[in-house]
Amino acid sequence: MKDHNKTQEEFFTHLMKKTKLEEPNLHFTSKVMEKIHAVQTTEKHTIFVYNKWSWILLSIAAVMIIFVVIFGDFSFVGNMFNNIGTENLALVSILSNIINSVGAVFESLQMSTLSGLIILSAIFLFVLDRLIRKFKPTHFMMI
Amino acid sequence: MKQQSDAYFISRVLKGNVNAFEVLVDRHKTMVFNIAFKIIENREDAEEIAQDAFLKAFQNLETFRKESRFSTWIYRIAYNTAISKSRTKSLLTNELNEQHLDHYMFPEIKNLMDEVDEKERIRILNRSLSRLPGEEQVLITLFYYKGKSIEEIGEIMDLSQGNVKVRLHRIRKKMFSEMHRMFNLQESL
Repeated sequence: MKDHNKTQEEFFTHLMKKTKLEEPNLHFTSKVMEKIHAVQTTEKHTIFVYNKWSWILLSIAAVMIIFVVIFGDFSFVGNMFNNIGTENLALVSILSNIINSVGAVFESLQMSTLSGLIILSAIFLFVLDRLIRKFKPTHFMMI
Repeated sequence: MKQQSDAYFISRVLKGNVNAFEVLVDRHKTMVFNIAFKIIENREDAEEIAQDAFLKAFQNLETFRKESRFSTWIYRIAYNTAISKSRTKSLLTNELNEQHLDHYMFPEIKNLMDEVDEKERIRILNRSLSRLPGEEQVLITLFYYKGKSIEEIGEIMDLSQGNVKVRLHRIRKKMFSEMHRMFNLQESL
């Protein structure tokens, strides 16, 4: 029985070696390499890839920057949950008028400092993103 | 001139020489294409699947375990991609079924095959091969044509070694049965 199977096996192996495989298109390899180079080029032109963690980190950084610009000191942690006050401004007078106006808007809406800063940060990031898109069209944002 | 191994070109790609991947594509494109083609049964789709398989392999080359062969790995990617694409289509195949298995005699088939010329032998072989389901064609091609081991085939097709052996045995029986039927058909004409 074993010999019979072995004979069958040998016969079948001999037969199968004669079968021919289909060949792919002549330009197959070049098409694959084109796709690979295209993927590589896209990856190189990406300036920022915004995944959720990038968004969170950038938002926190933007909040901190705006806090420092508006209040001019680092004791903002204690003020985070209070209403906006413009008493501690350390800016030049041109900016202080802008800040006063914005602060007045938030005061009238009775918004906390934190809420206001989150909104300002989102606007700041949106404007930044638009500017980058304008000057570097290959930049893309993945949300 | 001694041919460099796949591992050599893989290490070059990982060091930043993207063009070294071209050698790997050239070496394995035929079998990768055939794996896709046998399952999908459409040339254009099979080409696209095969190209995507190489692209996936390139993008994930850092995860490739150097203990196994590159061919086994890329064939597995191609096979899985083709299988998932084929499940979105309903394939109508004129497949051999189990009922035919009892009606063949190996010595008779061997004698018949010896009597015909080479061209006819190949025609009969290809015809009976084409009657198999795509996955079985892949399995038998990997074993007999590419000389892959049972273990490697199990890795490519996600089958146990026992399963591979059983399937090989059944596929051989099916093909012998079909060859016998074709000879009987010719005689009756």
